[in-house]
Amino acid sequence: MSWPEDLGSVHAVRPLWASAWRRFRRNKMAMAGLAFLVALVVAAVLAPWITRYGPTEGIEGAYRQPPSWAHPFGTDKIGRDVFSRVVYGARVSLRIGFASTVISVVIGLLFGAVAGFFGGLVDTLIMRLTDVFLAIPYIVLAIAIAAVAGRSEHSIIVVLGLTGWLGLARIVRASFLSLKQLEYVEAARAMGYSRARIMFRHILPNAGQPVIVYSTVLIGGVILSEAALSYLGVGPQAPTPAWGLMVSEGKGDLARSAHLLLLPGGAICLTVLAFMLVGDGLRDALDPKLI
Amino acid sequence: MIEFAASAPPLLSVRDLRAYFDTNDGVVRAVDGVSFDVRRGEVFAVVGESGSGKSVMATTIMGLPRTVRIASGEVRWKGRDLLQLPESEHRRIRGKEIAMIFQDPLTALNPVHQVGRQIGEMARIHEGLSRKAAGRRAIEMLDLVGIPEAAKRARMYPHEFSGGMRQRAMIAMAITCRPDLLIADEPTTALDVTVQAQVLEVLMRIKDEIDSAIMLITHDLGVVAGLADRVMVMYAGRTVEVGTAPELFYRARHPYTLGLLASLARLGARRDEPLVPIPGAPASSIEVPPGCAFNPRCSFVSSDGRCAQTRPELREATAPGHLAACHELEALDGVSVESVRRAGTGR
Amino acid sequence: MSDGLIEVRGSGPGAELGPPLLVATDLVKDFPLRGGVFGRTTGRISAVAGVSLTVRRGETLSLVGESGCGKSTTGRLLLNLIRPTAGTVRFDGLDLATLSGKELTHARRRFQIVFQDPYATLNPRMTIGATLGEPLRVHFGWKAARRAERVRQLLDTVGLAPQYANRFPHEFSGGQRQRVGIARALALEPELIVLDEPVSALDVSIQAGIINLLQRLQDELGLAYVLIAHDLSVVQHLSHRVAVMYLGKVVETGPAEALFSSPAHPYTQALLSAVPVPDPEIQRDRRRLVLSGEPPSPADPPSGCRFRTRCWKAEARCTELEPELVERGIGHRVACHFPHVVVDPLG
Ligand SMILES: Nc1ncnc2c1ncn2[C@@H]1O[C@H](COP(=O)(O)OP(=O)(O)O)[C@@H](O)[C@H]1O
Ligand SMILES: Nc1ncnc2c1ncn2[C@@H]1O[C@H](COP(=O)(O)OP(=O)(O)O)[C@@H](O)[C@H]1O
Ligand SMILES: [Mg+2]
Ligand SMILES: [Mg+2]
Repeated sequence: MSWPEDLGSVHAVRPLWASAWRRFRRNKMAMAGLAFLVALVVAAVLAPWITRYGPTEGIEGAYRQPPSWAHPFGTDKIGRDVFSRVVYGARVSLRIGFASTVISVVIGLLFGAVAGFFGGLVDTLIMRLTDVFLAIPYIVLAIAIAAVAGRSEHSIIVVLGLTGWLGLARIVRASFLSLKQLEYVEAARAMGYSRARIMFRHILPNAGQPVIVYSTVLIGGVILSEAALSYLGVGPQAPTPAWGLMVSEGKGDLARSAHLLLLPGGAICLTVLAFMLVGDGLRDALDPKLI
Repeated sequence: MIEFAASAPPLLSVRDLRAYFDTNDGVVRAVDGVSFDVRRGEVFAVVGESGSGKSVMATTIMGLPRTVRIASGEVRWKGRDLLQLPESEHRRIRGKEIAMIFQDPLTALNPVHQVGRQIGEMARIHEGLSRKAAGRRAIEMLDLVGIPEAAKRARMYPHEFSGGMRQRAMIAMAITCRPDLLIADEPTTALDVTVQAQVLEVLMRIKDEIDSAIMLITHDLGVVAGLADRVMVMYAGRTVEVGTAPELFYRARHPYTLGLLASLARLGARRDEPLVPIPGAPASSIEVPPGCAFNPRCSFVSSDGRCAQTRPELREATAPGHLAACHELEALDGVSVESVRRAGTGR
Repeated sequence: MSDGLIEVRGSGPGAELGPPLLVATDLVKDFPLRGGVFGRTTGRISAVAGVSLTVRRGETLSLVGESGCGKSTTGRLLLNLIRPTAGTVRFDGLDLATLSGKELTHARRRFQIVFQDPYATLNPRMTIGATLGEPLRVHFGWKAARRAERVRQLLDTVGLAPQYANRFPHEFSGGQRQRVGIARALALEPELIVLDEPVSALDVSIQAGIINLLQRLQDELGLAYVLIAHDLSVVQHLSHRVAVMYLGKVVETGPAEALFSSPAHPYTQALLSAVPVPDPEIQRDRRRLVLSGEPPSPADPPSGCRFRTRCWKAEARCTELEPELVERGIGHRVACHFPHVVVDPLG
């Protein structure tokens, strides 16, 4: 047996993820964002080893000090080391960011996939449901849940998880609507595969690019929302080292100790920005044709 | 220097044109050595598989692609090298003296403007016509390409036209300034054969009426056979053979041309006769094989390894003006499409 | 609704072919036409308007016609990929519309489809091996080792090297992907395959290889094909019988030989006459019938004969009365009030 087309040049073999990484690496801004996030995660994990003080530990006599060698980010009005609080705060922000995004992704994928795949009445119902959710501001929902379940990290995760899935559901629905027109999906139907199999094995993986990109940006968005809620006092309670709470506590003394506001505020900005840059880089790197 | 044996000086004369794209995956040698002449009033066909560089060649002549890097060559238009012209002067030639018809009129026509206005715009820009005169010219042109009720249609938008009508409107736009050369890039590929026949008929009629030359880019050898005076075959961005239509169809010399003709399913052929494919896949324009780009698929490669090492130059094949780029031209004497087909089917 | 079954026997290429495998009767498919702000149904597109077809074991029946005339819709109806508005499809005696989900899944093994676009037809996230192995797992519950063996065998059958099983679709050329698409259709050992424009997206030099492959598979495996194509040269090469469609209806059907040598419907004649032939002498001397206009919208088909708006023979009767398919020769049926056989439409 001879293979008539073997003479032709087949493109060099390149695993999918390797080529995505190759493209991602070329994007300088995205790489900077990624480097920042890696550093942030490492710092959060190793917090006890890289800080000298506990996040809630008051240091006698060291009130409202500007940044110095002993306290690189200074201290706050009750003598807590701001550097320790920002580093431990990263734990809180990342935990909330990831956990509520996971909730959003699961709900969004499920609703979006079902709406896009089945269409018709199911689709209409699900889309109306998202409209209802869109009409409720998350802050109102947060206040309601905080009133019922108490102020805690958990209620924040639930609130943000329950409000973050709307955009995702719409994106997933849109990809399903277009992907189900594709010939390989029709080919799968012609092979006699079940609907669930077609949905989860043939369509879902190809809707991966927008989902991954959106989720990445969503984590940043959640962290920002969490900061806003904490600032408003419906987030985690003091003395939890949450960045939003720290900004709120620091805002009183802007003239004398700007670092109390600027350093946790900067941490929020940089983190959100980093997630956006990485999301942007992923958008270009995860070419939907290949992934 | 290559001689295309023309008595009068050619209208357009392209020599060793190389146009590359520098991409992240490497240098794309889209056009990698193309030479030909187009004479006044003739139909010059360019054939080649998709990706062989036909469109890039055409748009480079028009001075359109921004990212392309001209690595070598000249494009002489009425004696002047277009590649050396400043953009402002090139622009004056583009549309007025050389006009282009694209494959997909839906993307080439602006969806937010009336068809008549887009056609009239050409005349306003290049000939300084008033709005009113341009409007009249547009209707005249639509009429010329056989669009019924031209005055009414001129006020319609591209999406209100059918595929064939849109392509006619594209032609109307291209001929508004009576160019000396019309470059038609796959003008009928997106159309059904019945509509294709209409559009080609219009194109040929127009050509006689405004007395222009046509560069007809296509991959359909049937269309070429019916219309072309001369034909150039491209492979991997290179001219591999050029000559008159009868020379190309009946006395082809390049193994690629021969293979292409032998591979066609022909109306009227016997059903049980197997076709003869060209082995292998079309060359990638990033990893071009050294030597002759066609050598990995060629069944006439020389035993001394020349084909894989040195790039063949265009040489005279069967008659003056019939050129082919192949090391083995002499050995191919007497080889015909029929004999290639017989060899391929083992009969 | 006999399709001239008995008569065809003992004549021409239909002679050795087997009993009917697939019988479609009076298939109708309307698509809702939505418009307005609320996406209400404002009309209907009559995509297929009463098509009856018979496909016998081991034969190729081709559907030809301009784009939008309902070929693909008919192909999908035949495989029960979409539900008909009216009409029935019997596959080997089974009425597909009455089967339960499980029975239909089971029946699906026996008929498959190959699509036009080799770039859209394979799941980009799955290796070729996974794509080919999946039906074997779903339908037969085979273990990995057994699947791998069969995948190797399938790749070999379509002329691809076994090591390609580990690669992804984007690493393949168009021709190779189409081979994979064919291998996938073969995986469950079907009896019938619908080929929807299987070579239209491929370069000519690659087409021949795929056409040969399809022909070889038919000979070796006794497959029946429903070939949807617009390139009549390819159709003639592969078909035993042909059905010409216009605006959702079959206007002429018959053995390929009869239809190509003596077409009786004006539309078939025009279609054949518009096919460009890659031979300058023949192509230039051909008498040509150039149809005017383009097909009317299937949302609002003409009364009577659907072709009358473009027909040069149309008379009052054509507006009033829809012509039935009438037997004109052995298995050769034509729907026209004024059929007239043209001998040798190519000359
Ligand atoms: N803007 C571009 N950037 C990079 N590569 C390009 C660009 N345009 C065309 N190419 C490449 O150049 C080659 C020739 O393309 P083209 O001239 O469009 O071929 P043809 O018209 O013969 O089908 C192809 O390999 C194509 O991928
Ligand atoms: N899913 C669909 N929804 C609405 N209209 C459709 C759909 N599929 C096909 N059509 C319409 O039906 C007609 C026939 O289409 P098709 O069968 O694809 O034609 P062909 O394959 O002959 O080109 C066309 O007018 C097309 O626009
Ligand atoms: Mg092109
Ligand atoms: Mg179709």
